[in-house]
Amino acid sequence: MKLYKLLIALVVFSLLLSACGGGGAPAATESPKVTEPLVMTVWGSQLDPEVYQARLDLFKAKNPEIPVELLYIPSDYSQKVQTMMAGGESLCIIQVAEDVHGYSGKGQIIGLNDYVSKAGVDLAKRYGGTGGLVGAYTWQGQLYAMPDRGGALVMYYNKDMFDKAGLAYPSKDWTWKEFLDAAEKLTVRNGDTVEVYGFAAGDWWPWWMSFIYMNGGAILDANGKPVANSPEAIEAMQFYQDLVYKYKVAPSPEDYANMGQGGPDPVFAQGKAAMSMTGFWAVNSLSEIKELNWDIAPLFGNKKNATVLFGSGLAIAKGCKYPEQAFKVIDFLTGAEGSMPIVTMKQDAPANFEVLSSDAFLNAGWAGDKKINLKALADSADIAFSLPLSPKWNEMQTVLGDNLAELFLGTKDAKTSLDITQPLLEDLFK
Amino acid sequence: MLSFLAACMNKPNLPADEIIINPDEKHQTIEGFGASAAWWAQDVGGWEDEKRSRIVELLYNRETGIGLTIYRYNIGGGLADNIQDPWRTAETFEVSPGVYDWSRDANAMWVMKAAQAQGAEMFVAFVNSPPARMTVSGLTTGEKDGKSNLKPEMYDEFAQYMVDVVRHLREEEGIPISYISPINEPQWDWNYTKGQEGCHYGPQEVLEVTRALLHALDKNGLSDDVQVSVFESGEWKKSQVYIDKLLKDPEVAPRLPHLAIHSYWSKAEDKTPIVNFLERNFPGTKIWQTEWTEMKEGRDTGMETALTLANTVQEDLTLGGVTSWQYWIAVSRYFYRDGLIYVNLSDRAVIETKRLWALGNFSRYVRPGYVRIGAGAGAADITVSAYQSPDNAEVVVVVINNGKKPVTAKLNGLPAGMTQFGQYETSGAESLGEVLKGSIPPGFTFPPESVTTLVFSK
Repeated sequence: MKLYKLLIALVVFSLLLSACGGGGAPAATESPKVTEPLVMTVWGSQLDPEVYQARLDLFKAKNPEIPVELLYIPSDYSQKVQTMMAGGESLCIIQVAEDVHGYSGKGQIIGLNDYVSKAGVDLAKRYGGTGGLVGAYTWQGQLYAMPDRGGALVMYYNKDMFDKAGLAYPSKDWTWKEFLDAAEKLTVRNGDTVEVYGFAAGDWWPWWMSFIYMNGGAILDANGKPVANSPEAIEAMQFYQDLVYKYKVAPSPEDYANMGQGGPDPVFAQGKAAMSMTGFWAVNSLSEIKELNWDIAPLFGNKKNATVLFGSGLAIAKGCKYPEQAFKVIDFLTGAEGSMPIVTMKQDAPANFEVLSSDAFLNAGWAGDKKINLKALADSADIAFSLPLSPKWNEMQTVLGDNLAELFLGTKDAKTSLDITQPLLEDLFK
Repeated sequence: MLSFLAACMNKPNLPADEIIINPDEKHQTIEGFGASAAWWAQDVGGWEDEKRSRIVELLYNRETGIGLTIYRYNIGGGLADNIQDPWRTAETFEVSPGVYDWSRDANAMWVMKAAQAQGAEMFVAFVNSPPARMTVSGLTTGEKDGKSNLKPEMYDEFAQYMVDVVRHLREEEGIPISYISPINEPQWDWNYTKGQEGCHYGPQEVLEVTRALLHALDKNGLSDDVQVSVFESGEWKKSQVYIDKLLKDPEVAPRLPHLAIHSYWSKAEDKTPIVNFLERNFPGTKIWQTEWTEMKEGRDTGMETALTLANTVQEDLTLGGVTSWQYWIAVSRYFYRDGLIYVNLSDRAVIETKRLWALGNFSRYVRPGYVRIGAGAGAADITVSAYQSPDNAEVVVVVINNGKKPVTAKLNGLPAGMTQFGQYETSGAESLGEVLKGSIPPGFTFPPESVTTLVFSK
């Protein structure tokens, strides 16, 4: 799309949004006095609604005039929220994740810029580093959700294996050279059989997408245009494929399929891989494996460091009668006080940088008796790239997952696969 | 992308009161609809005649039941002490290597023959686990770490065992088994703790079991009559690694009639990449959907699960392009959303579900040999698929109304010369009931939450 076309599209889009009476840039006008509870929807397992409720109780103690009713939706969350919105049910605050712009693209949640500036929230301070998920939750200049929970993709490594190989532990200073060197030295072979892999990853998007961004590539450029077959992206994906098929330091899909319970996380947990990249959630489950001596480190880079931020945010539904009060709620919840139960109740890593860096988080005993470098999460804040979220995120994932299958199987090289994928992405974003 | 576009065709830019079919747009040829007799037939087959016959009639009779044509017979791995539920373990005919007791599994045999008498014409013999003696763990539930449980030296013996059973069924029992399925959901980590028969295989192991079975069929002179149906993938997602291994093999690939895939857990976005992967790498590969049931707790006999089933069948036929669609256990005793028919063991009650009749909206009318043709609907709540008989004398249109309001629509694109018409409905009020018959009306009404079959003939 030529630039002038993009500009016209942007103008038309914002006009359309204003014609729809919301979405784009709402005037943060005074909301009426609250006469009914603001409904807040969340997903998760058993602990999650308890933590949200504890946080809301803190809010209630200070703001009794703004009652919030928690609506916990354990399954089919997006579908049910969409149905409720379509049915005219008055929702106010909704938990969102990578699908945030599925809502914003349909005008189902409102832009928060005016509320943020009116409340004087310093987003850079609140989320630290590169701004956490603020960039990802922003679409066409409008922030659509306040980042709430999350942590970075970090490197889990087996300390005993590193020690045995006489290698320094993974660090932010690594480039692919040091990474590959370590992976090769950590791989234990017995003839043609690999007994321990130096590294384990696969076809899940955070794994390979991190490598693209580490190499200065991207999926979408700053204007939202697909750039999946840039030289940087091709080089990165070729390196990623080579880890499996050329250097043979990481398992192939067939290797995983042969293992019964295959996949990087179980392979790392079983001591069959020295390095594996995953989110904060693995800390708890790995800490239960007594004989496994492991730690975590921030990811590294090649041309620059890069990592993925996972998480969820809190958005305001367009149908909410009390948007100003709703923002007050999510401002509180994502602030230091409102975020603290995420840590004290051992739910997750908070998006709030102050809390993520706090002793409360670092010493919460996430890994039981094990002393884990939880600072790796806060140390990842300045290398997190802005996820290429858009209203087409789900469709984009389908196109990528569909067309990169041969790359992961080793039957097509990176250039061929990405050259096939790029025009399909362009079609999607036309 | 082809299938992506095809999926879009189901919502063409049509007015909400229009359904369109296009007989010139020809898709796959349907091979039939079926269900599995696993685990229930071995019990229910011994019940009083009135009840067991009624169950078989509901499943296989084309006039009074839903007219399934495919019967899936489970070659059991042998009754296992470590499986608590008797409806999760099955007898094996094998007494010792090469020695069989053909009087075993008599109840299941009764059901299979009754189904044949009622209209079953295609028989698939499938295996969940090799007999215990051929396994690494000595158990039919899997290897301790969820790896392959078939002993490496047992591939040929396992293949010969399956061929022996199938030859007996064909030659002595008169059941024309035409497919053997040696593997079931190989990607899962079947291990000691599982409560049912199962065996994990990696891609190369799947290939080698298939090859061994083909060799055994050749050696026993059965290759012309019996084909190998593999690999019963537990879901669509991530099955490329197995597909690639099978369809790249120069010996095995040309002899595979189709790929067998299960639709459990599978959404449209999981099916499309597999269809596209086949289109890019192995064009022309046929797909059978060979197991599905809704994986949810609780009994439901009403339209909620019937719609889930009908939408799954419709999506598999249109988006997935499957040539056959087969249900998992046809009869359930559980408090689960499985079974087309529920039974209570206490009083041997036989309880029909709307799922049964909604599957009948397809199976009774979309017969083997029918070709799927283009179809689309304008109304948001409507999905549609259409089929034409091999002699072009009949057109069948299956319409699902997922909405809570009735939809009235006209139908365009019907070939000239169609004069007769029948409308068959499964809804809150009807169980594949004939609601209209005679000359073709100008428009059709589809009640809320209903599955309707329109049959047009010359």
